Amino acid sequence: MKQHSIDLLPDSIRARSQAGVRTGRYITSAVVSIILVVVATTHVCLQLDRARGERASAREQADLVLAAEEKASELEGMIEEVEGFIERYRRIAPPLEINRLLATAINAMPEGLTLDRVDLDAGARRITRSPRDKGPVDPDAAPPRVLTAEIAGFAPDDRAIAEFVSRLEGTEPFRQVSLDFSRTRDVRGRTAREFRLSFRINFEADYEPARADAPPAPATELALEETDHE
Amino acid sequence: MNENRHLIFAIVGGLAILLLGGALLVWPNYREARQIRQETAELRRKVSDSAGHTGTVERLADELESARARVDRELKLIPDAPDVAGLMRKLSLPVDGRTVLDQTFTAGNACDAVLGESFSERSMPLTVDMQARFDSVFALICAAERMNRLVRISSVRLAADRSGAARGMPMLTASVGLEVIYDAPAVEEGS
Repeated sequence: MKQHSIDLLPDSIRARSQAGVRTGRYITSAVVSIILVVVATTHVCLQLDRARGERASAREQADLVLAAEEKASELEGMIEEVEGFIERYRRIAPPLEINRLLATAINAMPEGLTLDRVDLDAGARRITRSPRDKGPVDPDAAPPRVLTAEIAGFAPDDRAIAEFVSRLEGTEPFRQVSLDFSRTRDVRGRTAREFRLSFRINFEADYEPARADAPPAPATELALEETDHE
Repeated sequence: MNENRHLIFAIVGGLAILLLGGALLVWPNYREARQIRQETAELRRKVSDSAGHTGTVERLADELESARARVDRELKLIPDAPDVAGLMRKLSLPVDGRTVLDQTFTAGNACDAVLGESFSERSMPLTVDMQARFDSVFALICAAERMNRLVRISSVRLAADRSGAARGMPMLTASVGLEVIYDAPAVEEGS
């Protein structure tokens, strides 16, 4: 026997029930959507916070690196300044002490040799140009630093003069020693050889720095004897 | 049919809320987070590229210290004023009539310390003319060259002084050219 369902629900109640179901669907849809939006927003906010933290940490490291870069740049500038000063000083200061050159020359004097005149000139001088020199003249060019010297005196004979020249030539930095003249003179009724020698020392060359603790030549050995020869 | 339409409306409404929330809340934060991550990656790349800078700073600091030590050890002072009076006081020898008969200081005009170079250092010539024994002249040369400030000897002229022979004193006529080096401070224009 077949049974038929009997719908006794009035239409108004049915319509109200269906409206409730529809409203429920709308609310459910909205709530689900809102929950999804909230979850996504929370997730993204957490990601954002974490990214901000990482960026702050990276910035701290980068600041340290930038500070190191700045410091390195500053140090490079200071080193350049000090090296510039050293280079300028090397150009300004003479590479050799005149007192040591003088002491060396006088200590090289053989027995019986007497000096009458010593001229040392280490002053700056302009470059001399011969008429054959070509090319433009640079008036601002730094002239070469050279010490020129002339030593004149008396010796008992030519052998003493030759020994003096030889000793000087064998000693750094006296290299180009030339005997300008040697002639016989009468000194207090005795025959002697008057001589003059000259040399040049290149001050542009590099020399070993003199030891500060090296003792100076004894003054008694350096005495330029007075000559009474005429 | 009517029910289906309501269902579609509910779904579309939900999607609209999702889109609106995504556009207003999720997307701006996501975009900012992505930008920050890129920025962080860029900073980290820079940091890793510059990883050797600490070592470089230490090396440069050592180099600077070494250069300064060399300046202190090997180079003399270049003062900012010639102070010729102070130099004369230090180099002046007592005129005792026995070892030193006369001593004269003559200062000249300042010029460039090195001709042809645009250095700030200047050179003040000072000539010391003496009538003295060799020991005294040599002592003056030594004193000038062993000062803690830079003084150049530009010339030395020694000649036997025969006028003293009668008195039995081996005297010399000497002229020692000095160059007092100083670093004149730059003068501001208009001052």
